[in-house]
Amino acid sequence: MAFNFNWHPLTADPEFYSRARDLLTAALNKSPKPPIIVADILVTELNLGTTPPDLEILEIGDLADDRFRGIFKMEYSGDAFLTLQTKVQANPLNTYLSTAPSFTSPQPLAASAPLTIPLQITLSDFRLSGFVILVFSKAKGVTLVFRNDPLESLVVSSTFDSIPFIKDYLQKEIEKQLRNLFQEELPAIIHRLSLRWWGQDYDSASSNTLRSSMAQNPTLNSGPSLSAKSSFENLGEQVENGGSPQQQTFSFNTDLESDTLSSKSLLRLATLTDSQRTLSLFTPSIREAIYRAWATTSERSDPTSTPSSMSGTHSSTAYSMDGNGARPGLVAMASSLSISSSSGGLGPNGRPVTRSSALGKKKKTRVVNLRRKKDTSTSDGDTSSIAGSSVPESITSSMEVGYEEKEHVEANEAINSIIPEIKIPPPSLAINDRRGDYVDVSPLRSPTGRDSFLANRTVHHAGSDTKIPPTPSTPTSPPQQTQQHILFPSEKGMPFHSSEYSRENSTPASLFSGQYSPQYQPQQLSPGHHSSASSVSMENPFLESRGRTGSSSSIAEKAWMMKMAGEMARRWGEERLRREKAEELLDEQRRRDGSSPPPAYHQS
Amino acid sequence: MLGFMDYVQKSFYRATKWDEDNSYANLNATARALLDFQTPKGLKLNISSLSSPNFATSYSLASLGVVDGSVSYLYSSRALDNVRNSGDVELKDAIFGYRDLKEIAKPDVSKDWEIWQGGVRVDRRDTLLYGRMYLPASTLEALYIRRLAPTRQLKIAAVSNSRLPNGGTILALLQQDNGKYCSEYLYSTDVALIGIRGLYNFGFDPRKALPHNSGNGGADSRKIAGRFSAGAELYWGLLNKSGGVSTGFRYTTLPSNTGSPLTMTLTVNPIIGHFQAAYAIKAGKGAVFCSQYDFNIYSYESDLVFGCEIWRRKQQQATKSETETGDGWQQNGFTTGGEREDDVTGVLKARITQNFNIGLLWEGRFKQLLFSIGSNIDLKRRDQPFRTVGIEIQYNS
Repeated sequence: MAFNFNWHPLTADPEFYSRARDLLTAALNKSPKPPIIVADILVTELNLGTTPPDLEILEIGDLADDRFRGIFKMEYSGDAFLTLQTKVQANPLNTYLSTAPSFTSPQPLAASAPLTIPLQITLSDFRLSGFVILVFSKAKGVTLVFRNDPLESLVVSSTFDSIPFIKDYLQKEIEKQLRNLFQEELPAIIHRLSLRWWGQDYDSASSNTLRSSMAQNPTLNSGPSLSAKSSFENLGEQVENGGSPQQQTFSFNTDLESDTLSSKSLLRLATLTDSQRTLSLFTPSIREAIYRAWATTSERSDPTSTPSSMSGTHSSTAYSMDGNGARPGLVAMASSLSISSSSGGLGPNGRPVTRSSALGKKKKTRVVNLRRKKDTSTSDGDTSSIAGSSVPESITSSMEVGYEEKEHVEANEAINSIIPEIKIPPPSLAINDRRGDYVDVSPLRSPTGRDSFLANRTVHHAGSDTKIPPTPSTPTSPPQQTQQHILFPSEKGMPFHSSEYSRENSTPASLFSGQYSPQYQPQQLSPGHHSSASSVSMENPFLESRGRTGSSSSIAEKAWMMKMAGEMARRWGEERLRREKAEELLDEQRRRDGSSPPPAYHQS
Repeated sequence: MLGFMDYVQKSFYRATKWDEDNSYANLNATARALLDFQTPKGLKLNISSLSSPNFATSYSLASLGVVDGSVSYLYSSRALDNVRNSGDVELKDAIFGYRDLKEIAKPDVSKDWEIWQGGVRVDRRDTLLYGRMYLPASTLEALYIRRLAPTRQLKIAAVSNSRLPNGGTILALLQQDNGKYCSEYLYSTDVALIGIRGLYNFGFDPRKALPHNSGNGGADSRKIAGRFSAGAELYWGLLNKSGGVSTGFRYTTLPSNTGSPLTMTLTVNPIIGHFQAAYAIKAGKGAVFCSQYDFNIYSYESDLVFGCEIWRRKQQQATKSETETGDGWQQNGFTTGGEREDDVTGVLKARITQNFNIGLLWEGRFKQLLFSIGSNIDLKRRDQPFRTVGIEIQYNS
């Protein structure tokens, strides 16, 4: 690991000095000045010099592309200098009287006559040594704190150098003030400067969130009930497919292109995390996030080793569904969804999905629709292949795999049994599908494009679903119809999405498509499929995907992964609770919908 | 406008024959009154009462964004019979204005103050106690004045406020006024400030001239047509090891002067290199004009201030007085100091600096109320020229 500190670029920016001067001037004049200073303090000259400070890294607490927290040992003995200009009151009696209450003033006649003298102070030859705590976040700017008093010495030269008394006094006073400045004012100044640098991102980000929230609302209803697990898995895909997610992806991609994570992307991440808490299927359009999620999942939770937070939550939902077994169809749905998601590389996606709650929901709905549609439409072709296997088991296993659930053993077993079958079909299909999906993003605007997309999806689904025969096996069976009914709301939701999507995409779509160059996608997708198909194989593909993505923005991915991992762990508990709630909701929905027997199971 | 407590304090000085103007600190009182007057801010109400000749209370309420006020009490061992309520007080006593300096009075002999009763001396030194509490600010002001002797007065002022360093300050001032010269010694606890100031009046010495005064009036009147005074002050803060010095000169005409009354002052601060010259002239009965020039020989900073003070009198009275003047010049001169003062209905003060900062103050009496309306106008700020506007109303009973 290496750090590259750029000192000169700072100084090379012509606007930097003016801005810094302004901020410094404002800071110096903000606090009440001693009465001896009768005019504003102006920073006339500021030069950081050419010698950068020596930094020794003591500790790095947090590291990501858009975040950083570390402790440095800083030594500085450069040629920076600072020139201040102000006016001072030369009559000590005047300054004394200005602070004393008038009632007890001796009321001198003219002994307190004012004499203001312009004063120019040049501070140079700074010798700094101290421990610096640097916290950087794209969203919150830079926070720099000195842990101790960094000022060792400096040279103060002023208008009154010829008078030793005044010189000493100034030296003493200024050192005192500077210590205060370094420990209190400077952090504030730097923070404000950094905020200005990244301030624009803020605005755009906020607007994005608004949009996304708008988009989220319609989808909330149907999607979540069907599959919390699948939702998060699917989220990635859905996001890609869905309109609202595209925005995010788009913005994110732009950020990635610039190789910097902005507050926008952070917001997206936040939505992702939120989605984890909720049932929303929507995954923000952060492709890197997908990769990262995979990576994290693979890293963290090769399903056996450690249950990823996502998987845990999802698994819980999945379990509940299983427990409800009375409605195998639903389970099958969920499983199928999960599978599809997994095939889409959902397993990894799952985490990112979780983050974007609201969006996720929409996506979920979409996913549900798609899948069901897929199931229905594609079921004919795809299901046939899948049908052979024992549906429930396969489903559960697939579910688990996709989710990386707690019950690794079962899942693994199931997976192991199932995997071989699954592995083969998904990659090709998945690739195609994904390509279709990604590429289709632009086409999605038009209904035809959508249909095609859906079709692709279904196909893809089928590929993934091969594991999950239930749904495809009997498309015509009444249960499926019931499912379809269930799906319908989501479908209704779909048009919204599409419309929104089209709206949003109208501008960003091109970018989105551009970002998701078909090349990338297939590659990514293929690994994703593998992962979903076989937990064992997952790691590698993920890694690959990571690496590939890394080419585009490896740093971003890493950052994402880091952040995601941390946040995931944090919110693990919260998610659980929410999941439980979601499960309840699901159960209710199932009951309502349940009037019709679960199709998939019956079919199988 | 003088606050009621300041007015009572002045009355105390008058009752105890203490010449406030014979002090170096008040060398340029005329210029200060004409050029440095304070304009009221917001709304301020004062209700005061001299409930007994020895005891006065005053309540003030000010509303400038926030409401604050003060409660003050005053006790004087000398019965203050010369204090009049707001309906009767002469405006020249209630308003700072051009100081018509009187001839220096010969100080009382300490023997005159002695009161013997049954072989025991029973006289007591006159004392004034004053306290004022600012309510929201929790500031307490206290004043103790004691006439130690006919030529000596001790004045102790204290302020208590938790925000002040050391919780407050005390200023002790010992004044010695011999008429011919006056010296003051002060000590402030704030920075352990020690101060000495003195004023010397050239020419007429009331102590020696006393016998001649009654004798040959012609020579005396010539002598006392004007008075030249010189003074100096020296301060040294023991704690902050800094000090200040200034010297000042004043020439003022005395009431016996036949020409227009005028006052000229020059103060010099040799350390800072600051010169201040002020010239005030009373043109006519109701108009005073004043100019003041500041210059610093080190920084070349200068400032020029013009001010005027116009006394408005009742129209009827004015016509009447004119007829009187037509009748006899000398009579008019006689009445100038006396009854005619009651005719004054208001005083307009105005000043303008070289920065086109204008201060306006209208002080007068409306029925039983004394009021002052003022504004500070900055012509350089076109968008918002009125910097402060305020009205102060005072009712004394």
